[in-house]
Amino acid sequence: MSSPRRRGSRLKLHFMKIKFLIYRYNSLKKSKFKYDSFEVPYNKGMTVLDVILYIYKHLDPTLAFRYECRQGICGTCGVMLNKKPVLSCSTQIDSTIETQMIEPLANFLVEKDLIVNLEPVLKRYQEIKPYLDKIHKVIITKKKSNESRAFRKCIECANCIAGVPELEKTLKGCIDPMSLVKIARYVTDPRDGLDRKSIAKKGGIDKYSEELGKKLSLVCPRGIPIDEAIKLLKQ
Amino acid sequence: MKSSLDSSIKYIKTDILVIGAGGAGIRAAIEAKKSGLKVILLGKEVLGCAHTGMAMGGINAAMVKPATPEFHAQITIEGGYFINNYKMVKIFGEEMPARIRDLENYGVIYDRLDSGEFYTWAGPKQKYPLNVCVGDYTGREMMQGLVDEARKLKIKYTDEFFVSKLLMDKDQVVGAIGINIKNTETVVFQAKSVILASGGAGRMYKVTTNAMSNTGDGYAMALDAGAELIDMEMVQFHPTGMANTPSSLGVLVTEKTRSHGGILRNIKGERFMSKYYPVEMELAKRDEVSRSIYQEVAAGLGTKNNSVYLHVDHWTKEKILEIIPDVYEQYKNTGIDISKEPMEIYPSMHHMMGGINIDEWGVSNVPGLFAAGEVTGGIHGANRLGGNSIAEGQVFGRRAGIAAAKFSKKIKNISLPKDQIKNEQTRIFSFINRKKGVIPHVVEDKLKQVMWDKVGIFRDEKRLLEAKKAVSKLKQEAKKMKTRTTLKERNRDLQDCLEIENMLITAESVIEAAILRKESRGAHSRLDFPETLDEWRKNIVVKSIAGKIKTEIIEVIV
Repeated sequence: MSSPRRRGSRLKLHFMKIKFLIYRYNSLKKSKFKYDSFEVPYNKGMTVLDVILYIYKHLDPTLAFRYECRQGICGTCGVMLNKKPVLSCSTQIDSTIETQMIEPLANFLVEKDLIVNLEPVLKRYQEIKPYLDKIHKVIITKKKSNESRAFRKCIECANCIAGVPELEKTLKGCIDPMSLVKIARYVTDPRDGLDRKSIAKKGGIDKYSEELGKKLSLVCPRGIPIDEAIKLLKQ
Repeated sequence: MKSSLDSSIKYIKTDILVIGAGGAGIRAAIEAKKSGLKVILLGKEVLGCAHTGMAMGGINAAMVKPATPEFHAQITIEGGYFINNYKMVKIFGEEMPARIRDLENYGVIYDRLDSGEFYTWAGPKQKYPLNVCVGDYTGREMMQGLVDEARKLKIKYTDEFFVSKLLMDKDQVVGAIGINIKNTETVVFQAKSVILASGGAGRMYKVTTNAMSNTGDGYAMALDAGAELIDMEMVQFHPTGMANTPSSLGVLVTEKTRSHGGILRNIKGERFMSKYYPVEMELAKRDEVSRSIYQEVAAGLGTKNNSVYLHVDHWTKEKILEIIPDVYEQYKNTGIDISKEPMEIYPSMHHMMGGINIDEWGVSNVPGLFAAGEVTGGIHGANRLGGNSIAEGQVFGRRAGIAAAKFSKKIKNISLPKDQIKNEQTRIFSFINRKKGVIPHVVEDKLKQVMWDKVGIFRDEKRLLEAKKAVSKLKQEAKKMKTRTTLKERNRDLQDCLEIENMLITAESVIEAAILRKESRGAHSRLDFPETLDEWRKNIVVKSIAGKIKTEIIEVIV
């Protein structure tokens, strides 16, 4: 690092560091999980992804994480920031918190570090038939297209699944919220011919409370009204 | 450390191997699957997260009169400065409406009017609107539809797999070799035909709209297999990439913004497009708007972030949220409310017009090798029109799927080349096994800077030759790259090493073709040859002969 010659206030900002505790685990080696601590220089506007990339590039090349688009649209970079699920590329760091924590998405098996094993969830997802089926020919108007519009914004980032601690407790064995959104997406699509509400019923939709729905809506980085999906599927 | 890493190889047999799981790859796999043959789809990323999903504004097709397929074809050729593959363009225009319907059957619901008619909007050159869309996340909904259909058809997909080389039996492609990113296991796929749909190479530029997976793997592997590339000098810079924070540098702001009344201004508040294209204004073609912005900033009329302003703050918030909800979110996430203040934007490397020289069935010059999507060239000529990229992948993805299936049915016996497999495995693991060497991202960062500075929006012989020299030096450095960890699980440095080698070969192809084309046409703007010349209404072909890049000039395919 070059010797600091700038004015005091700028100097302070320039060299401000934030401590990040990063979850480490390697399922293939069946290692014991731990948290590694890294000090990362803070820049205004810095995202969680910037922090992760800084650590990978300068501090620890063994860190495992996913990212692709930097645009908040591919859905692959979800992590827990201070216990809340976020897309790491579209979430800025709050510089007022001295020590922060980055962990893999909750309610998933961890493959390595910040990477979760998506397989079990996607396997269950396949069971709800996540595709247009038994197609009716219907002319879609603006009004009809708007009915499914919000649910069609799902990018399968799974942040909703990570956002409900209930999933491991009161909702154990129930259908997950990502699947509910997909079901709602096809229930509101006039072309789809499957009885999807019964899949939701069997999956325990009634155990999803209104408050939980509201909480889930706030978690979704795509702003999908998951509470409305739940309401709709309970009818 | 050598041990099991080098020795164990998993062998998998299939009829058709599709490499790349973006729009073109999945579409190819869907079509190939219908033939009843065995299909395996490989992607570097989690299914659904490919770069196609980042397309925002729309997808072009003559769905609503007065637009016709002929009109679509005509403006594609005009937009491409008359060096497109005319045969492909004609088919493209004709078949797009049917591909839009396919996507509807896969689940996609395009934006509609009250009557049920498609909502369409007009991009540059579209006297009659061609863009059908889903908000400003058309690509993402399209990906979702394709992924859903792939799930419905139970297409076999291998997540997070990196293909590093095509395998040849004499002159024929008979499979591919690569590593599982999760655990570095070597896998050899034996296939009767291979469809390459591995996308572009945005990551070789410092500023890009592209996903991180776009590292030119397909160009490099195709060259190595003896395939011809075409139009590699044609690199599109999208005029409007985000420029307000380093984190989101280059991220796409859709053309839909300008087409619905977004206004470009310089630091003095002047609507500068009036100086360059007073008729088309903000809706001049992409190459034209990008050059205009470049010149404004070069003249000192940019912001402190070396950018210009794109205004939608004169729209109502309702309009913003209806037309460009994701652009609104993208800026909101960086602390900017675009309904109250302007966006800062600057051109960002966006698309490779060039690529594998295919015919209208996705057939390359190498038996057994088919290709579709951004990894191919010909359809866009010297400049791609907005809305034609995710469209093209659908038409030629489907066609490549059909052609590959037909080819595979005729193939009886193929044998895998043992020496190639062994050599490739040695190459891959040399990056881990060598005792010391260069850190991969150091090489990558140098390449990005060279491409951005010397092979960018404006070019000239001096800088291109400097770039050539620099890249050739970097190729030597790259041979000495060494992963910073020997870990098998998720060794990102290893993937970087392999990708960097691919980016370097792609960069070399771009530079060689750019040096040869001594005129300005479309995205290729030479300061030393500013005129567009009739005698240069030709294509440049790039191939690799005994490991050396060679260029050749050919007639336009009509």
